[in-house]
Amino acid sequence: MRTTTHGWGRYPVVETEVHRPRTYAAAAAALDAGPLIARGLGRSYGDSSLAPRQLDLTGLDHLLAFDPATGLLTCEAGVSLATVMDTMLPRGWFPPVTPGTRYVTVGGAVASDVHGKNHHKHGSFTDHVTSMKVLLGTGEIVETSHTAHPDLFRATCGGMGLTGVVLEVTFRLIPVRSKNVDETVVKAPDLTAALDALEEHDKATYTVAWIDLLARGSRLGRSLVMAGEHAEDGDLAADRSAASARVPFDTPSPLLNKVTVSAFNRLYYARVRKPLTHHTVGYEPFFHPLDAIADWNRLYGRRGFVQYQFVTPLEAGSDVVREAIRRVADAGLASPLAVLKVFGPGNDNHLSFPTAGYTLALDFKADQRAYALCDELDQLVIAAGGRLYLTKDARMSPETFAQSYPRLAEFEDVRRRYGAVGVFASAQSRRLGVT
Amino acid sequence: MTTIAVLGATSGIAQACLRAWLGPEVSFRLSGRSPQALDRVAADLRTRGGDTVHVETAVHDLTDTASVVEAVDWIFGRGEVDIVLVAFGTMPSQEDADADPQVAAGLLTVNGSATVLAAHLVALRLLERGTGRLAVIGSVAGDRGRASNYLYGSAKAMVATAVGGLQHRAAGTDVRITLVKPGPTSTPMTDHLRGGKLKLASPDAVAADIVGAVEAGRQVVYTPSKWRLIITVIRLLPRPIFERSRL
Ligand SMILES: Cc1cc2nc3c(=O)[nH]c(=O)nc-3n(C[C@H](O)[C@H](O)[C@H](O)COP(=O)(O)OP(=O)(O)OC[C@H]3O[C@@H](n4cnc5c(N)ncnc54)[C@H](O)[C@@H]3O)c2cc1C
Ligand SMILES: NC(=O)c1ccc[n+]([C@@H]2O[C@H](COP(=O)([O-])OP(=O)(O)OC[C@H]3O[C@@H](n4cnc5c(N)ncnc54)[C@H](OP(=O)(O)O)[C@@H]3O)[C@@H](O)[C@H]2O)c1
Repeated sequence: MRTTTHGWGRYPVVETEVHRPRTYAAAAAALDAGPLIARGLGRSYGDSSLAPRQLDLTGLDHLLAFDPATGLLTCEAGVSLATVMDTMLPRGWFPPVTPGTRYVTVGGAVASDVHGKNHHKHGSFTDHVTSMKVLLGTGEIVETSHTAHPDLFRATCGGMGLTGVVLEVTFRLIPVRSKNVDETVVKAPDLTAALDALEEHDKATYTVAWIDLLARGSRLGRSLVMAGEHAEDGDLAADRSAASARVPFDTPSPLLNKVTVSAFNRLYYARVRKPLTHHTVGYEPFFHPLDAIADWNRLYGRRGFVQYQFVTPLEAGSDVVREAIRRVADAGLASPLAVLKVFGPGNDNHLSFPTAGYTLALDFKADQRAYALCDELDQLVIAAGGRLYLTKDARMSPETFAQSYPRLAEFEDVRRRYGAVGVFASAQSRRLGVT
Repeated sequence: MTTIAVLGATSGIAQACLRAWLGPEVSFRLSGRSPQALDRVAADLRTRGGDTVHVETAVHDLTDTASVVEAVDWIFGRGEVDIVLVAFGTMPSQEDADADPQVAAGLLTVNGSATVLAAHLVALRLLERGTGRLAVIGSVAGDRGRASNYLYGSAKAMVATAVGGLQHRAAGTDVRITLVKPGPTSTPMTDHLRGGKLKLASPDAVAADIVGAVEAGRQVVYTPSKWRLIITVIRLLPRPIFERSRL
């Protein structure tokens, strides 16, 4: 079926022909008709999952095996993390890493090698993957792990669907005693206080800072810093709740102006009255606060929005982050969501995004002024030895990409060795020169 | 312990029902056409449900009398059954059916006579025992013959009439028989329609309606429920207007 498609940022929009395999053989057969890119739940923001032909993996949604002795779960790639939580949490198991939404597929989590608030302690998603079945460009389906075709494994984890189609994944769940999280919230009046708080709580399993980008001058970087641990209270009933609110139509862009955004951020900051608070919250509000509002991406109106997430190495210091926040704040291009985290060490995958350093994620409404600002930020990030997160990107230049992903050549070698060239490509990869 | 048996267990709608029925005290008896697909469905249920879920499978290609009889014998030969869902079906395009009479005949057999025979044989067993639930999947397509799918629709109308008769026969007993009439639903049958103009219901929503209707012992369930109204309107459309429409 021919249709139009876009990522979570609703920009860009492209025409596509969607194939939806229900068996591994059907996925392999889809390769006969020409190049394509895999697609999960479309939660990547930009053009990573877009192409004239899309292979929609969400029809491959079976859980296949679970071993309570090891915590290893094997499932088809189209299974969502929401399903993993719904089915496994009541039995005391939780995904080892969860991004800010649980509506991602396991295949998508592998392809973007997603990180969560526990990156500093537990690394990214594929650090917990023990093996996978991957459909290659040759039509062959191979098993890959740290020992079987390890080069393919390292390229596919974080490889944005460009080495092959992940069909099946085995990964390790973590045991938990509760669906709840014991949360500590620190009110940080400026960026220095926020960074101090992140450091002070770095023994906590989960840490993150929400930055109010409208605070300027001496209050620049004003934040709520959150730290969390899985609670021990024995309450395992999954929050099986669907979204309780929904944005029914594309809100006209002017609604999301500085005023509303400012109100949103202040409210968030003002809600916490004391400088330090402790409470117990469900996993959903802690990990996925935005999942409570279905289709919240429509708040940005028809033209959509871009996310911008970078990481800069620890050695470059926090001044780069400070400078980036200052420029965004000065430009007044409001972004209701600014998230700051300190990553732990990166892994050995060719294109995985996380590296030890500071990572900041922002949203902009898609327009020329925002792009100009992003171009400026690119320079800052590259100069500091940092990089941008592919799964959020819709606009970086091939030069920026090549400069900031030093293992690109190795990645391309693997693609050649395993028959991926000319078969797996996305709108993003074509823009960046990976075809 | 509740035992649930399904004919056509790898169907998208059936799988969603099976997941909704999962619980600590259930046992499944699953008949399907493809052994590989059946293995995946069984593995999925065992993994979701944990060690307490019991799943048995058997392969049947339900295209003739012998295979339908064999499948029903298999289901009831392995002990008591509380709920039976008849979910198999096929929907080739009208163009394929136009081009090949074998395709037309095949779809009439599978959706029509094989389904009716299965429902009839299952109902006899339940009536013999005096208790149990049977749900048979028909379709909104059975409510009025339309140019785009009247062959499929006529087979589904046959199912509706047969289930009506079985309900009549079961009146006064503890056997409850439900006719399910789904609207367009996102399953392998409709994967080629995704992203088009027709909005497809989620199989989980349809399954929730089916499970609820079986539990309540309802005779007919349209799912999603709005289809009851839509079909009433389509049925009442005067012929000149209907003939100008492209339904
Ligand atoms: C509200 C929100 C919060 C988020 N928070 C975080 C966060 O905290 N941390 C983080 O890391 N990310 C975060 N993300 C991004 C998201 O986790 C990733 O984009 C993820 O990859 C999306 O998974 P998906 O199934 O939707 O994949 P898609 O968006 O459909 O695809 C993403 C990429 O994966 C590839 N892909 C998908 N499935 C397969 C497969 N089976 N085989 C091969 N390639 C495949 C696609 O080709 C594409 O390149 C967030 C996104 C949203 C909307
Ligand atoms: N989806 C809709 O929009 C919709 C709307 C109204 C009614 N329905 C009805 O709902 C029921 C379930 O369909 P679905 O939507 O879930 O589609 P589906 O996933 O395609 O299910 C149909 C199932 O029937 C099986 N089947 C087909 N021919 C068979 C045969 N000869 N012997 C045994 N099994 C056979 C198929 O087996 P394989 O897996 O081996 O192919 C498949 O599992 C069908 O009766 C269908 O007509 C569907």
